[in-house]
Formats: sequence, structure tokens, C-alpha cells
Amino acid sequence: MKRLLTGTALATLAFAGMGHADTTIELQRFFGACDTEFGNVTDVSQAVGECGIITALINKFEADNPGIDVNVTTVEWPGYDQLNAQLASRAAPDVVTMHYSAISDYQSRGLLDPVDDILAAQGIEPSAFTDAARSGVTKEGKMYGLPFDNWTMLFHVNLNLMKEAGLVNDDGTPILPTSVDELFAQGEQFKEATGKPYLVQVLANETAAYTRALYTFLQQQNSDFFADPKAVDLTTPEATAVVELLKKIYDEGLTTTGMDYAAAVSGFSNGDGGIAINGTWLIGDYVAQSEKEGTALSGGYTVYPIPQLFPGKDSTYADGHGWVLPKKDRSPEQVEAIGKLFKSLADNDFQWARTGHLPAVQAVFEMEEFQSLPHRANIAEIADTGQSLPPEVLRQFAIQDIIGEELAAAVHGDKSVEDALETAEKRINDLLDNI
Amino acid sequence: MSAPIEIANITKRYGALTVLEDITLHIEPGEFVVFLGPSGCGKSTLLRMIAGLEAVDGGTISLGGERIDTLPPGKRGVAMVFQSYALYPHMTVAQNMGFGLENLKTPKNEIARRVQSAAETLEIAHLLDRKPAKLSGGQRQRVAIGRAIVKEPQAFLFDEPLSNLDAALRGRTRLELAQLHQRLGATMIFVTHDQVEAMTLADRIVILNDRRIEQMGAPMEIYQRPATKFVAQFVGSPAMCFLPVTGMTDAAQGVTLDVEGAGKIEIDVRLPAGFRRDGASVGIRAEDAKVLDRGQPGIAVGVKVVERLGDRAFIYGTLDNGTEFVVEDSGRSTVASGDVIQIGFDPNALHIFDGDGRAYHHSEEA
Amino acid sequence: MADRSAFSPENLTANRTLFWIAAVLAALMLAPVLWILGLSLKNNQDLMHGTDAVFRAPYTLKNYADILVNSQVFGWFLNSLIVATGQTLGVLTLCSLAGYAFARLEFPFRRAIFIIVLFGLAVPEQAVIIARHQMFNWVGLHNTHIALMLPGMSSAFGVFLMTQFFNAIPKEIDEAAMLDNTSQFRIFWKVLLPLTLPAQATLGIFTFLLAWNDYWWPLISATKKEMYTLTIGIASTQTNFAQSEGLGFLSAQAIFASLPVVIVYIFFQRHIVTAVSGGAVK
Repeated sequence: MKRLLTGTALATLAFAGMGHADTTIELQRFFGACDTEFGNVTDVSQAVGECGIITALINKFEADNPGIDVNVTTVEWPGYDQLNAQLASRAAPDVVTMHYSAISDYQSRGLLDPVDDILAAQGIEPSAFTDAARSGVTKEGKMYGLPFDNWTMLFHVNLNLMKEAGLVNDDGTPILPTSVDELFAQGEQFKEATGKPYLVQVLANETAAYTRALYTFLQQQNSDFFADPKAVDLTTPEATAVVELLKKIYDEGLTTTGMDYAAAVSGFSNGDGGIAINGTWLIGDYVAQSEKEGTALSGGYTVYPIPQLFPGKDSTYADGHGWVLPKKDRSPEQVEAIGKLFKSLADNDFQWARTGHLPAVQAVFEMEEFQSLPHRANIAEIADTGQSLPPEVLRQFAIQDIIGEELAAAVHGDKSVEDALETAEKRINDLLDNI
Repeated sequence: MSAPIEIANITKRYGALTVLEDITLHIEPGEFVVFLGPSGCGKSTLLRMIAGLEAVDGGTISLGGERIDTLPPGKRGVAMVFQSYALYPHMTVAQNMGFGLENLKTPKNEIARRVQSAAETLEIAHLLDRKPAKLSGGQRQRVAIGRAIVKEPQAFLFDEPLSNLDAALRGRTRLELAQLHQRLGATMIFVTHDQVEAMTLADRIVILNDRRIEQMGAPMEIYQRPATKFVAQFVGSPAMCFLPVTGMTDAAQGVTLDVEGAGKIEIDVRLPAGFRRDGASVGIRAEDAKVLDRGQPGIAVGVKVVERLGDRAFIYGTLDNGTEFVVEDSGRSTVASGDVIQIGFDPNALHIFDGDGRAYHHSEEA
Repeated sequence: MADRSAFSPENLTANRTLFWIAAVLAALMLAPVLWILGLSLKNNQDLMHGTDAVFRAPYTLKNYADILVNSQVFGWFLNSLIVATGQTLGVLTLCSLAGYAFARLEFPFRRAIFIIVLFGLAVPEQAVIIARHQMFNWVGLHNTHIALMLPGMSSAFGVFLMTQFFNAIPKEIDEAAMLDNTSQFRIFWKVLLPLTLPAQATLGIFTFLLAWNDYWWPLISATKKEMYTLTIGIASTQTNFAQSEGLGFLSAQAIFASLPVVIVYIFFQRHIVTAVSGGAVK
């Protein structure tokens, strides 16, 4: 009798356990793994860096939602090979990080679920997001992901060297060019005064930096190079003007040469040049260095959007990270859990903005904490001026590689500017034709 | 320990190519038989058929009264020594020799005893722990023989086992093989293309040529009374000289032959009615001809080369009509190349061959 | 007194030149390894400033200590070990059997099948990986050790190598064994297989290293982080792109990951040299 009772008790317990079974979300992301440092951090304000902050954000979400278990898989950046394999074997995770520029590739093949209903269920209005962020995830009128941030290339400025070159205003802000001619004039002035190149650029082993520069300066000239999303038009005076600008900077010795990404990042830290053209994500690191004694940036760092050099409009090519949902069957509990996760990520978008990325949530810009983050006021305008490629353009990662290769050849003088642009155009259109 | 071998009507074909046809051969217990023949005559094939390494396409093979051509090689009661020795490179000498017994689940101490005894017989007891790579050619040869001995087979098969040894070692090993045969008293079959090995080792030589047995017999019988022109040509060094016969008339005793380059010769031989005259020839060995003193009438030979072997010399030359001829002379011969000498021979030392290559000898009963 | 002009191979200028060229090349090849080793001994924050911090104290073992508390790395290490060992054993077994069959057995279409196997040498992984991925998907094998091992087990090179090796063993060895009353399997197992040990060592080492370093197939087959191999796992811990944070920890993991390979190399050095020199020093 007693044994029977025990058995019943156990069964009841088991049943009770099942009733409270955790809802599990499979989440796959890049940004690295740093469980060693941040695996137990739930106070997000204690975390630093992309990896630390996203780890802490998810830890916090799990702590706040005891019934939900987020199973995180980290993948090597950008993780699309793995995602493709998982989609092919119908084993895709529930939530995946994806660049806005990659979303159309998946959305156009029907591999993503829209998130409008999920966001609505959590009371998140589409208007809560910045235009740049919302348009990054919106395809054919629907949102195909939670926008998380925007990022662009920026002018990271070494004020110490700029001062030496006489390129600082009385109020301590740097004098930045407002036209191509000014760029060269100030560049020469900088070079003469400091003996160092004006710009620190990633020119070796690199395709993304060239491509982002081309897009930015084409946008500034109002060039509609993807008027037809299936055919790029690069044989234009505007495109030629951009590549000739890049080439002239190189030819006149106004830039560091031969630096790969890592070298350019640390080169700027070490005072190898006046202005680093690099991404939003470095702001945190450079600010930290400027706050330390004895570095090249000590007390002399600031950051601005890439200035408007062409008279068309003020614009900067922008991309961003979003959270997308690969198409699959999910239980209502899972959908709800994902909704809660999205809400938590959106509510804490300020924390993510500490990385240097621009917030995707409009309200963050108004937050005092955000405004008191160093230099954020300088770059807030990107929420308006940031512009991505038209959402219908597919294969943006592959296009980036083609443009990068051809432009590198032109800048280094291995090809004529016209030849490089013609070849790039032909290769891209071949690629898009064969989809 | 020794058993008779009965080979009856054996045939071997490779596709359309017939290698051996209708071979029948009886080997006495304890007999040492040598298969001799040019390369490609099928002698090795015949040996390998006895061993079970080649399939038999027709006929039967029996050993000690039991038919063995249907048995796998390991069950036939024969042991074989290969030309390359085929030792197992990763095993020690002792393991090489004992491997076959191990496969038969022979008790360990019995294996050890037999290996030890064979090693002592072959004087390789001090090498038992070595691997083949650390042995000289002669030592490997002994291990290969030892591997055969420990199995105590009913018959030993040797496939050109001496051809990989240098000349001096080959001579010594030949002698030792002969002694081994005497001591073991086992039936042995030995394949070689070397007539010296055949002559010195064999109780009986089997000469194979062109798919069949050309002749079998004791070594001296083969040498002195070759059954065919092929055997006469193949056995003996230097090779027998042949002179074409252009005409033939019966004489009181035997026949008178018109020999091209040597004139009319009368021989005491009885030829059968079926003797085919066209293409007939006579043959003579170098030792049966002799150099005549100056002035004596004989057959003129223009000397090309004199090969001096110490105890004797071979004089190579040509007759007037260009036919090649060899004659043996004493070691003290003064003949030099360029000389023209007169030679002579006993007509009864000649061998006569008919157009089909069949041989007839002095006073042979036809 | 020795004649100074006497020929001596050790004295040749050419030999000394070769030595120095070899020394410089060796230093060049070693440099990246030493660089990673240096990075692994540095604090992550110091490295963000510039990697030339490697040349200055302080050094720390913290990155290695972090590996020890990060259970994931051990799991990945174990996965790599299981996969590399399993794949190696599989390759050795299959290639030995296939090599023996091609070299010794008569069966229909032997030559044709062998030629088809040789075609396998010419087919790059890229050409088949999608079909392979789908096959494993149909069978539902993804995210298992078996899925990681199986593709590597079909080694055209291995079959070719073992076939050549078996072919090089004189047939008389088999025949001697047949006369020694040895069964066919025992001939394979006790007589011929031991003779292929040098080839087995070569093939085994190459397979192990190949499996250990494989990236692409595990990348798309093992999509659950519990099934990651070391290569995928370590890559997945890189932040964003080009790794500007956590460089020291990443380097420590890379050193940790290379340990088995170094150990394999030290233990089988002689065989590797033989393998690379194509058996010329047999």
C-alpha cells in the first residue's frame, strides 16, 4: 500500500513537472562566445562588447522568464552557410541573427516567417523603430525580423593629431571636409603637419570597406544605381567619380596602405593616422582607450558620420542586425516565448547601443542615458541619413565581394577605373541573372 | 616420408593458349627429378599444378596413391621452395619455419622441436630470432628450405631455387641439396633452366618443350643419346654442332651420308623405313671432334675464337661453306684465331636427325 | 696536415647555403605558431590596443585557465577526438579490405570498379557536398558522430594507396602461405596486413589530421553546438568579424586544439617523413 502511494506521488510529481515544462527556443547567432566571462551575468549593465552584452541580455531574459529556456548556438560570422545547411535539412533554429542586407535572399525564397503578428501581440508598433531599421527588415510590406540596430562606417577622429595639424575648431570639434576639394586640402595640411597619412583605411584583404564607400558616395550623388534591383548600373559618371576619389586618396598618400582589418583597427589606436574610416562597433573600444592615460587617443577621440562630400544629399550606407524566424512549425507557447524575447530585446535596445551600434528603437535616441553615451549625439543623424540598398536586391554579400575585388584592383592601379567598374557591373549582373 | 607421384594426362590452358598437353609422368618414391627446359616451356606451371597453385584443366595428379589435384595446396602434403624464397618479412626465422605447423594446430613444443632440428641440419640455428631482412641470400635460401623441411612433406618442390644466388654459392648449395636429398630420402622435384644443375642433381631429368615432354631419362642418357634434335641442342655446353645432310645411300654396315661441308661419311646405324630424309642433319659435340696434326687430311676449319678454360680449350670456327663448328682441344693447344686447322672425328660419334628432329645414334636398335 | 682543398661534402658552400635557406624557411613557417602562442599568453584587453603587446610583459595563463572552466571546449575536443579516431579506423579498415580485394581477388568488373574508385580522386568535395548533405538529411543522421565520420571514410586515395601496396607484395608470399595451409582470411590478416603497416601508418596519420582539421562538412552537418568539432567550435567563438575582442582566449583555444596534432606528429614523425618522401627512404 505504501509503495503504491509512493508510486502515485512520483507520478503526480512527474506530471506536475511536465505541466511546467520549459518552452525551449533554439537561438543561433554570431557575435562570438564568451561564456567564460559573461556566462553568469544577468545585469546587462555589467557587460561590455557585442559578445558580452548579447550574452547578458539573453541571460537576463531567461532569469526574468523562468518558464522559457533559450538554447544558444554560436556560429562563425556570418553563419549563413550553416543556416543554409539547416534550412536544407529542415533543422533550422527558431531565431537567427541576420544582416538586413541578407534578409531578402531568404525572404524571397519563402524561408522566413513574418513577425508582424508576434510584435503586435506584444504591443510593439512598427513605428517604434527608426525608419532605417524598419526598412531594413521590411520586404513586400511585411516585417521579416526584429530590427536590432543600424551600423554604418564612420569617421573615427584622433583629435590629438588633428590639433597638431590645425584642424580643430575653438570649441574642440574637428574641422571635417564638406567637399571633395576640402578633403584633399585638409588631407595635405594634415600630412604636412604630422607627417602621417590623413586617413586610416582597411585596404588589404578586404571587400566590405570598398563597397560601403562606393554605396555611400553614390547615394550622396543621388545615383540610383539599383533602379532595377536585378541589374546594377555602375558605368556612370557618378561611379567613376567615387572610384577616382578613392584612387586619388591612395595615389596622393593621404591614406595608410596595406592594412588589413585588424591592422587598421590597432593602427588607429596607435596614432598611425588622423581619421579611421571604420564601423560603429569600434566606438566603445576607442572611447575606452581615450579614457586611459598614455595612449595615442588619450583625451582626444571623437566620431562623426562620413561627411557629405558630394552636393547631392547627406547619406551614408547603412546595414544592421536583425533577428529573423526561419520558416517552421512552432507551438503557440514557442511563438509567445519568441514574442517575449523580442520584446525584451527591444526594451533593452539601449544596452545593445552601448556597443556603438545605433539603436533600432526610436525611443532610445530620446533616452538620457543614450544621449550621455560618448559622441552619440554626433552620429544620431544616421537614423535619418542611413540608407541601405533597395530591399529587392538579392545576393548582397556576393555583390559586396565582387565590388570589393574590382575596386581594390582599381585603387591599387592594377586596372583602370573604367575597366574595374565595367567588370564589376558585368559580374554582378551575371550573378543576378543566374538566380 | 617419401611417396611416389603419378601425373596422368595433365593439360593446362590459359584461354586459347595451351601450355601443357597430355603430360604423363611417374616419379618414384625418393627420386630426385629435375624439370628442365627453356623459359616458357611450362615446367614451372607443371610444378605449380602439383603444388596446387595452378588449376588443372585435364588429367589427374596423385601423391602416395591419393589423388591431390582436387585438394587445396595446404592439404596436399607437399612443400615448396620458391625462387624468391617468399619468406614472411615480418616474422623471425623461427616463426617463418613454424607458421605452417601453427596453422595445423601442431603443439607448440613439437613445433619448437622440429624447427630446432631443421635449423641444426641447415646450420641456421643461430639465426632463429632474426628477421629475413637481416639475412644474406644464402641464409634466406636455407630458411626457405627449412620451412619446407619442418612440415615433413611427402614431396619437396623446388622452383628455380638457386637462380638468385651468386655462382660460388650456387655451386655449394647444389652440393648441399644433393646431400640433403640423400639424408632425407624424400621425393623431390626441381625446376630449372640450368642444365648444370639438372645434370648434377637429378636422378632423372624431364625435358619439357612446346607443351610436352621431349625426353626423360638419367642425365648421361639425355646427354649421350638425346631423343630429339631439340634435346641435343639444349643439353650440353658448348651446344652441339649441326651439319646438313644432302644425300644418303645404304652401305654394308649402316648408311653413307653426304654431309655438306664434310663430304661422304659412313656410319654404323640402322635407320627405320619412316626416316624423313629431307631436312636431315648430323650433329657432333665438341669433345667428339679433335684437331689433327699438321698435314693430316681432314675437314678444314677457319678459326675465329679460341676459348681457353685451362684444362681444355674450345675452338670456334667455320667450315669452308660457312657452317659454324666447335672443337675441343687440350689446354695446351697452340691454335690461334686466324689459323686454318684440319679436324677429324669418329663417324660413330655422330648423331643423326631426321627431318622431324628424331634422333638416331650409333648401333641403336631401331 | 690536411689538404684544405680536399673535397669534403660538409665543407661545401652550397651545403651551408642550403642550411641557412632551410633555417630561414623553418623560422618563417614557425612564426605564426609562435605568434599565436604569444597571443595566447596575453590578456585580452592588452591585445585590443595592438597585438604588438605580445612583445611586452605581463604574460598570463588566464586564457588557458578559462578553457578549463569552459566545458564547451572539452566537449568539442571530445567530438573531434571521436570523429578523427573513428574516421581513421574506418578508413584503415575499409581501404585495407578494398586494397586487398583489388590487388588479390578476382571478381567481375574489377578493373572497371577500380577505375571508378580512381575517378573519386578527381571529384572535389565541393561537387558532392550538397547531394551528400541531402542524403544524410533523408536518413536523419545530421548532428551525429556517425554523420561526421562517414563521408571521410570513403577515401579514394586510401583505396588507391592500399591497392598499390598490396600489389607490391609478391604473390609468392600468398602462395607460400597457401602451402603453409593458411586460410584466405588468415593470409590477409596474419601475413599480408602486417606487411602493409608502413602504408597503414601513412594513411592513418593523414586521415587523422584531415579529419581533425576538417571544417566544411562539420560546419554544415553539425549544426547543434553539442555536436561541434573543435574547428567549428573555435570559429563560432570569434566575435563579429576579424576578431577585435578576445584574441588571447581565441589563441589559447587554437593552441589547445592543435595539441593532439602535435602529439600525433611527435609520435609518428618517422612515419610522416616516410610518407611525405613517398617511401624513397624505405
